[in-house]
Amino acid sequence: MLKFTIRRLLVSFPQLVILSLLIFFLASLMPGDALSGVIDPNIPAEAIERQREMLGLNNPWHIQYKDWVVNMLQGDFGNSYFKKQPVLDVIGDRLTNTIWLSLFSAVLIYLIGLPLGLISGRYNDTFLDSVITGYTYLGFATPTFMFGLLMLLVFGYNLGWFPTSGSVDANVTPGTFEYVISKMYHLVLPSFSIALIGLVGTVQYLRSGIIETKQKDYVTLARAKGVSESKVYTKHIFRNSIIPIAAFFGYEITGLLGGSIFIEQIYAYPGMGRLFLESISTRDFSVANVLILMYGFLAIVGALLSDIILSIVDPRIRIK
Amino acid sequence: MTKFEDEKRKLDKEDHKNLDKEMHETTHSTKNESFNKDRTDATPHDIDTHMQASPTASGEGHGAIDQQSLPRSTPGWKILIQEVIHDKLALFSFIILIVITSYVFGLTLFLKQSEIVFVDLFAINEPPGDRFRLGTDYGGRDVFGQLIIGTRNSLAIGFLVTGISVGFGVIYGVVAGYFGGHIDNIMMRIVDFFMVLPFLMVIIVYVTISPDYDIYSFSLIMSAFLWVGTARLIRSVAIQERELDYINASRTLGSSHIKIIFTQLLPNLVGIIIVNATLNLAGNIGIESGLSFIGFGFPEDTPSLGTLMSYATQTQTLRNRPWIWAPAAILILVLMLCVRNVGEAMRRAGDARQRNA
Repeated sequence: MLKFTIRRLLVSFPQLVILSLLIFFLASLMPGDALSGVIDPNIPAEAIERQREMLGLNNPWHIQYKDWVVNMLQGDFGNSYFKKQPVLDVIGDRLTNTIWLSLFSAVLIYLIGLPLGLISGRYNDTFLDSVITGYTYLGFATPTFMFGLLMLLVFGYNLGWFPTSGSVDANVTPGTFEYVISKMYHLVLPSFSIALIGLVGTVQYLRSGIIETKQKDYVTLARAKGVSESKVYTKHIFRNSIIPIAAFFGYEITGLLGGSIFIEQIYAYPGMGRLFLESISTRDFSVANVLILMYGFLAIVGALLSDIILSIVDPRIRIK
Repeated sequence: MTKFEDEKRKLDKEDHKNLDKEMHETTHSTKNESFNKDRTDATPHDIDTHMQASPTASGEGHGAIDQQSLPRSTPGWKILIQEVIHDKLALFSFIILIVITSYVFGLTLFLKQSEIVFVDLFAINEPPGDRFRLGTDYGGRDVFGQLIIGTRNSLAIGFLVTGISVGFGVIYGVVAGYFGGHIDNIMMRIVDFFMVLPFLMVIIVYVTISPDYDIYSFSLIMSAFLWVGTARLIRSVAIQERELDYINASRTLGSSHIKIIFTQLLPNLVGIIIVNATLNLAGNIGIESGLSFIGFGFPEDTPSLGTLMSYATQTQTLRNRPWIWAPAAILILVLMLCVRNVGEAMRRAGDARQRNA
């Protein structure tokens, strides 16, 4: 187990290096550098040149790259050209907001998706199953942003049940109970919009997994031994059908984080995805870069997590 | 082709006998199902036939074709077409798709894009009426015309991106899967890397910093990230296929790798490739409309369905002027639903286990 984890960690390290290299080159393609936003026309050109020399902007690329990485490892992600404060401060609670949103959506996906998949797999070809399968067909065809807009229109504007923007009420003080409630309240619509569309994959996987597993010999054996029908499903079939879903957990989280761009934009939810779009439209590339790096890093962690979970739930993987 | 078929016929006779037996079983299982509709307890015979067409029609069809092709194998693409025709929902979806596509591409021959995106400040946000069939947007542009051109653009880029990405992914996956070993290992590490890239963000950055991008460079940059799924799928199938006797036989006969890949391996993967391309097409249309929706897809003078949807980000438009965005929303939904229905029907056809199970 430990050996597998360490080996898997070693694989992700080069991924991280290549990702950082790629983003470094993407950044060098973008207009602007550390001095953009600070320069005004009254500063003589020599002074600017001196500054550039001091900041190491004239160094060859590999030295610049090394400085960039070393700075990041020390927690210095540079300054925002637009807001003129450290990038980490700009990102600040945007990160926690996005993580909350993704976590909420993930919980909803599994809370609703697993029972649905279980039901439609167990009672396949019944009316209930066709309803659920029809839902997954619709869900696969609906883009998240469209469903989000629809939810916003119906539950936000027409019915007025939920707030239509922001992540928390303006007039509650942080730390109080009302603050937490207000945050949750603001999360309901966005996370349901993500989850109700996002769960269709889980439902379909689980359904076909269960249908496939229930023809296996060991299930027949369990029945022949006289195991009760509900136990056959919970103990024997479900355990095996859940493997691919468990293995996909890490990727699911990454997908949720990345896909939240649309939902955050629609609900004006102050998360990382919205910050990314804002920084792109204000041409604040220093922030955008760090965000891409963060998303990439989270994706690598997600893939790592997926593989480790898979090795836990399915010991056969470890042997390879 | 004929040579290949001969060879395959000889080598895979056993397999095809099995396949034909399976197809007969399908016939029986669908018939069984119609007689025992109320039976909930699943036996291996009546599982996952829920989306199949009406039992009698599909039963006869399968039976008739089996007898004709008993000595011969049915090519993969033929099974796909049969399945789509027998699956009434898929057939219906396919017809709708053809109708929409030909209508849109036909009509755009007579519509001028510059006329449609012409800003008319005297006709801002007009509801549907005599002059504008579906009203106008905030720039006084005709929504109906934009819808037609938008559908064409969305479909065109969907086809283009799917073509490029599936084409590249297939070649990549076949090479990795066929050669295996170190080559496969290295190629798959590259794929793993692409999997963790936040590709939406990279596309958005590209769209922002690239001074002049058009439909071609946009689809290229999209394809640059979307080939990995196909590559992984094709590689996993190619690995299985490479172990089969017909490949070994050709290798023993001394055929070159290129010849084996293109004349033997690829024709056997055609079914999977078509299915994958169809399902990708739906996904790509969705991604493009999503990008246009947040304003990083096509520029505003080349409307796509996502551009029309993006007007709904303004609260006033969303609440009070549904004629601007609702038709586009419905069209996206219908298009994606139809493409997916066809793709899913073909996927079931390609997966013999699901077909007869």
